[in-house]
Amino acid sequence: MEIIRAEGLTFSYTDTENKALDGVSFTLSEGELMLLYGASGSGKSTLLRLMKPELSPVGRRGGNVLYTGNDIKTLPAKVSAAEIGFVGQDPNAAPVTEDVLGELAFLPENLGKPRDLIMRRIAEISAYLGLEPLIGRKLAELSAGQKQLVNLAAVMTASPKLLLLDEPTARLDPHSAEVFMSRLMKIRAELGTAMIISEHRTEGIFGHCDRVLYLEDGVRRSLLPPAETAAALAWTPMGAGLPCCYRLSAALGLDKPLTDTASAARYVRENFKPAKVSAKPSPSDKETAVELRDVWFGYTRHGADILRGTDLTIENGSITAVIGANGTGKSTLLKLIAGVYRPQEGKVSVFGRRVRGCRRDAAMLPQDPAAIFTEKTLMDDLRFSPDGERRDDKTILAAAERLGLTPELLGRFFLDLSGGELQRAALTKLLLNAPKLLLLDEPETGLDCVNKHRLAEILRGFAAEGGTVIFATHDLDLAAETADSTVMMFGGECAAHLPTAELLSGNELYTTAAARIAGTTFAGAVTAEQLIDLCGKAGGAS
Amino acid sequence: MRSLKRTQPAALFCYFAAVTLTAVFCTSPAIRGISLAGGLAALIAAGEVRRPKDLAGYGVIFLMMTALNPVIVTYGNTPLFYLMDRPYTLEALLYGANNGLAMTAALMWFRLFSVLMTSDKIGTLMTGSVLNSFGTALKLTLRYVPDLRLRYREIREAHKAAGLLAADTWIVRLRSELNVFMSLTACSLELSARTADSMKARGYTLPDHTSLAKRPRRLGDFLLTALSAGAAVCVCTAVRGGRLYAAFYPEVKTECPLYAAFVWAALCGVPLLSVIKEQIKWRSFAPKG
Repeated sequence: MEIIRAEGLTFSYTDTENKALDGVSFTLSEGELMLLYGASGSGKSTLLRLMKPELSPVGRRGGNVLYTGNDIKTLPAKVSAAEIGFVGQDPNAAPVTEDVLGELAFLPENLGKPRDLIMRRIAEISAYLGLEPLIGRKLAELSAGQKQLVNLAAVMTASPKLLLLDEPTARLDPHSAEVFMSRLMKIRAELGTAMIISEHRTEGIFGHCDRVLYLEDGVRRSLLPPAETAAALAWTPMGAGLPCCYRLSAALGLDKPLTDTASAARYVRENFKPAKVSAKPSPSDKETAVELRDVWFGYTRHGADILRGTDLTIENGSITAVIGANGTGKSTLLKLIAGVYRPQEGKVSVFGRRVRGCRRDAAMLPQDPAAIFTEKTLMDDLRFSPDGERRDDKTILAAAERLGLTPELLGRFFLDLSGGELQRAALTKLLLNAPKLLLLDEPETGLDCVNKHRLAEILRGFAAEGGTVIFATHDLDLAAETADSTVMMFGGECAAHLPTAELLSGNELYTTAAARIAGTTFAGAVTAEQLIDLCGKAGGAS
Repeated sequence: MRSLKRTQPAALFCYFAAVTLTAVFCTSPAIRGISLAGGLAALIAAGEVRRPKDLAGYGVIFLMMTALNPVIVTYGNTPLFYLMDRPYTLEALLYGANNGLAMTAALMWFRLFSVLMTSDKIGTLMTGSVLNSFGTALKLTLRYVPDLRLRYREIREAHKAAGLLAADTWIVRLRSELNVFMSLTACSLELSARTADSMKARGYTLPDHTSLAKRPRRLGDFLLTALSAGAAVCVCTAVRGGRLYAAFYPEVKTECPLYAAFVWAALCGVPLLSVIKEQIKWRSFAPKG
């Protein structure tokens, strides 16, 4: 049964002549899963919102969207609310009530369902998605992964026929993202709910989807099964965002692609002779940039400690990634180094001096980059230094260009930018103050693979000029590509601090797909590029 | 405190209204003292006050109100000493202490109110399909101020960590703080718009809402409402009959009939009694031997 059909869908926002979508067509049937793939600003979110009447953006629109054969514009509000579920990127934006039970009841209450039915449905969906331990808890107490599961359950209470998901795992740690995806796959397999999901993190979803709709500047470039999409995109810049097993298959020219990490690992193990990645020369006699000694910190007097005796030394001119699950103290660690907080016990030093407040030579990019903007245009925001000194336009334009911000983007209001654009704008704002220590809290949020690569280059350039970078991340591929060393946080302590390749190669579970595939055959290979390079050097399949 | 948490929001609301309004508007030191003792016992039972230090704020307010009143008001027959040629009288001091009792008692009961009555519970006070929507809006409004305070802290921290919060001169500091406020305004409006989207997407604008909240009341809810109303009426009657009063100028005169004090103590002791009852019950459930 056909659930949704788009016919020549075209859309332009009111304030611009450019088309956000241009003649996009597709159909989706019951139980089908379609992945929306494309660069930031390619029209993925716009397309998803046009399929949910309540969230349709304001602008000029052409073409049709048909839901179960009827024009979506004429769909009764009750049917749309119940049958088309929408889960967005930010787990904190959706909740309306204070506790989990209230949030799950919100949709059926609005649909006018009787109390007994609401209770039964909540009981059912909670058991199905494993949410019983969360019932009765306040939403503010939950982790991002748990909140996103509650957001999913909140739309599932009305048994939707179509689920629209806009980068639902963007703010989740790898484990929470896996849990979320596994629940989605369960819903699809057992309930037959049709799904359209937009994602930059394709590792856990690509192999499961029926088709991939690839968008470029609002135009449908391809609508193909995953293997064919991978073959078509493998050698384009957006190919870097595809799962490692598909990229490897394309690089090796395999007729039948390797569709999951385990089969790719087996293939490598059985077909290649062991080889090693040449280890990076370790930086010698560098000065210490950041030092933490036995640092203890908690947010409240009676609450639990977030950092528990943390010790850490970071060298000058290095890039360090901080990884770990949500709530392990990554952001707190960065804020202590930035001087936002002072430890209750222990010592934090930056460039040899004890941290007693925020320093001029350190700058931190917050998790939500919108928090540091104030003005009507980005240009106005960048024009003045914190001391109120005016910068000349040439300096601003040069810094913006380095991060890929066009003059057109500089004329926009910060809330009109995409996640990736906002992230780069915030980084420009920080770099204009010429810090020596750059702290970034989940800088990968909202970035596509091209912009992630650009971010990695910028950070490497900053470090090459003598700057020190520490970034907290959930994106292990970004850590593998960028960081000299990686700190793994667990329970408020640095469970490990090792060179990135050594840490990720040694980890069995918390590591990149490339490292899992490389296994012991190509020890030390932690990025898809390293893996493909080694396979090429090994002379293809033996 | 579990049984009070399970009490119907409407009954709980009546209880707190009766206690706080009477403590503030009845000038009898006995009634105010009982209210303060009841509030303190309830906060200790709820685990909100663990050590004397937790009461420092209340102590400061009480002492300030007590000590400052004679500085402003010079009535009273018993001057204790002269401050800048103005008498500092015992009666004014006691009047200040009496007002301090009312203020600290009310603050303690408000604190307990915020522990027991979450914004969701306040929202469920609204009944009927139209009022259900209003209840949701009310819940969001009640949460708005604490959320805004939290967001202000986050945004200020973000500015501080990014090195954007300069403090060289007061003009620069003022501008930095203004920037924080502007970011707060923009981000709050954006978040509100996204929450509104989420509500709309989940049918908030549809008519004929229902509610998951249980409406039927238990006997305990009726008893609590009746006790609240009865005690308040008892105190009001005693005040109107001239048997419950307090006058401080020119000299202190106060009277409180025993029955009014007893009824009031029973009402203010409800939280403590409920905790004692729970502990006895739990002990009886514990395996013997």
